[in-house]
Amino acid sequence: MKSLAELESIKKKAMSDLVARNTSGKRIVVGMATCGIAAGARPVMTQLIEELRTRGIEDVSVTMTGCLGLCRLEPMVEVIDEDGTKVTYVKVDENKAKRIISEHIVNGKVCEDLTIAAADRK
Amino acid sequence: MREISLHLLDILTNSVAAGATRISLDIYANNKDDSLILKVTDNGKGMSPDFLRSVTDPFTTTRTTRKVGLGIPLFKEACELCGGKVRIESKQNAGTTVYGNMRIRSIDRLPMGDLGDTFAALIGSYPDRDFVVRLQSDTAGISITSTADIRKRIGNLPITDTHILMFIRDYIREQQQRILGGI
Repeated sequence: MKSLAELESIKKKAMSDLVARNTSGKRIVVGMATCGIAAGARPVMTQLIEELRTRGIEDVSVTMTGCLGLCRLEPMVEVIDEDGTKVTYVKVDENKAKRIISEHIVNGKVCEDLTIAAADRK
Repeated sequence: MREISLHLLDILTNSVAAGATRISLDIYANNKDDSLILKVTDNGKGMSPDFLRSVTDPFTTTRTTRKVGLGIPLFKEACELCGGKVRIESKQNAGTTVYGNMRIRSIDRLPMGDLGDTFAALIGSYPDRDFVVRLQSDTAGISITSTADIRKRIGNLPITDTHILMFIRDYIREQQQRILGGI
């Protein structure tokens, strides 16, 4: 059983890592209105956070937002790069979330086949 | 929605949208009386009496992307299917409380699902709000988790740190299992 006292040791460890962190300014936004939630956006969001933690990436924020306006393509995830460039991923599941972190966030390579543009071509 | 915790995520984001700084979720399971009570309380801007009257109507929404809002109507349906009701109290500039209840042993009752995931998503997105999670049952006692308490313990480490968020998720999951296990 976990105890809140464990937070102190997580904090100590995280603070020592914090020195090494830089702020890339990349942001990930997950559509989490009723439509997104019903389509499975919540586990996608926690998978994104989990994957960042596993890889020790602390300079990318993951937040939810309201309806992105295309409910049929939910769950939707937007990755906004340092320069403001936005890539919209559609019908994201937990496996695709892992790919977005490893390919787009870590290697800087957009997962073209998961984007809204690819969905439009189908 | 396949889980009660997904309905709750939806209701809780309404509180965020209403500008609440303090949002609590109370769940009380009385196994003996076959009763599950869910309550979301916030100190947001509240609703006007007119809006409050229409809020269970799917054609009422504050969203601007389209004209249908389904959060409250879906939650109402989930409760009513299980012999329960939804009741909403709201006062403008004071806050809103959404109550729902269900029979625990109703065949149509959704599983509680993952409250840990629900709060990891909320706290990660809205780290400046105070969230309180109170879980209670007639058989296993009470558990209270609050972001104010967590913040005190982590000092100037942001609560959005992924290690902290995943700890909160796992911690709430365990508390849910301990207090509401099986529901």
